[in-house]
Amino acid sequence: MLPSPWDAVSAFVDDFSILMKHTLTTVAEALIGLAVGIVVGFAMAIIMDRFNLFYFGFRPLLIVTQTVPTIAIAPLFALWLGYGIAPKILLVSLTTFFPIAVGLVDGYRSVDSDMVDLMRSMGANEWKLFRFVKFPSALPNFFSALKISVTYSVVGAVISEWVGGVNGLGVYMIRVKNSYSYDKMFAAIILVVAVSLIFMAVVNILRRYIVFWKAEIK
Amino acid sequence: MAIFEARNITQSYEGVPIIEDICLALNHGEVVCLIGASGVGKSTLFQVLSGMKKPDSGGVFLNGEDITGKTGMVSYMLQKDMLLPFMNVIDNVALPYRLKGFKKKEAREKVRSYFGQFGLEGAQDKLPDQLSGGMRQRAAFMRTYFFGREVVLLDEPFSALDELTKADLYEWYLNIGGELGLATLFISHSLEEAVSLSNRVYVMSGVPGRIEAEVAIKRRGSLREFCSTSEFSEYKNRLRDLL
Ligand SMILES: Nc1ncnc2c1ncn2[C@@H]1O[C@H](COP(=O)(O)OP(=O)(O)O)[C@@H](O)[C@H]1O
Ligand SMILES: [Mg+2]
Repeated sequence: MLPSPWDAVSAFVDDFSILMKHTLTTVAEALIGLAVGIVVGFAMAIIMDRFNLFYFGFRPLLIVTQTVPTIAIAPLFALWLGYGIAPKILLVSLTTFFPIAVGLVDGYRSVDSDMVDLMRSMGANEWKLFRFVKFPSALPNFFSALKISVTYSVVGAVISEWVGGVNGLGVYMIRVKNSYSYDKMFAAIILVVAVSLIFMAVVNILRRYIVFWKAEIK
Repeated sequence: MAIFEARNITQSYEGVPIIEDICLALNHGEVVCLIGASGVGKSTLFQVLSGMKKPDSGGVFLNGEDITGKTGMVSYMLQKDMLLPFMNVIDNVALPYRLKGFKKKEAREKVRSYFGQFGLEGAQDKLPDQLSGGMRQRAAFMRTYFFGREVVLLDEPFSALDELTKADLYEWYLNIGGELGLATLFISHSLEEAVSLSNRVYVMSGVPGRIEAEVAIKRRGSLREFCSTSEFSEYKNRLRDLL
């Protein structure tokens, strides 16, 4: 018994203010989690770049941890941290930091070793090498990673809300599902998709300005 | 007296000797070529001369001072232009000043007036990808110049360029090198290039690589004229026999 698109639209209009409130919560969780993920990702990438031991030790470990499905750990976080915003942020940061860390470190490490030699021969120290060569060189990788991470962030927040919460699109979805209001369910799904698309569009716009020297690779 | 000297340099990779007992000298204002087959150890020698690598034995001297294993004492340029794709040409060229701690604006002001001299007028605000191969190499050379060292090491600076661009750049380099008072040691595997540009040529050969010969070149008249003389071909033949 699928609702017609018209049903979904009218549900959207009817529930507009409630939907917006929930969307705001989900967006906030996604953005805060993403911000934490980016900061942690940056730190991890620098450590992995600096120390081979961490690169060869952490990178495979990170890839293994990524195969653990989000839906499996979300209930654990709810158990430990309750129904507030904290378990959502933790889950989102955990899923988003990984592409960022790996993208950045691979970017740093892809810098031509002759370029590194040349910079050193001109007296560059580690910081200047990072600032003038490694960091800008890794920006295209960073944005490719960020594109993945922003979609993870929305999905992560919603899944986290499914397993327990008071606010957010995930919570709303569970409620309307329990009352068999599939039209509202569809309205919520459309909103989740819209939020993801807006996040991706923002990343694309930022990328175009910041990574101006590289044409977009489709 | 030589301003730059390598004395008895020996270097190996993982126990395999690559170059052995290399001695060479560079005088003020000279252009000297190091020629040799690919794999003979020319770039390895340059890594030692530029301080990137410490040799197993031997030393590098600048104005009599021991600079073995010290980077930043001589300018060093590679075959690949190594321009940073995300910086416009003026910022690429001004990079040595940025590394010395100048602000972006100050660094730009320091290099701006040189663009004409380096044949790069109008290229200041372009990205490296928008330049031709010859212009990119000139920009790379300009950046090397602003590093401000009298001794310039160029590792196959012209190898990636097409014939016509090369011919232009040879003449350009002789002029600008003279104007700026540089002492240049460059690597080549082209006899033509070696004879065209150099006051002297070191010939490197063998395993491990050694300097087996040194040939002085007397150029008369302009480069264009010199290239069509019989002396030019004789020099080339002589180098070919030595290789
Ligand atoms: N990093 C390295 N590790 C081990 N061997 C090397 C390394 N770099 C160069 N070699 C070896 O040293 C020799 C000389 O190389 P190179 O100096 O690049 O020669 P050229 O510049 O004359 O072509 C080659 O046989 C090469 O295989
Ligand atoms: Mg070489």
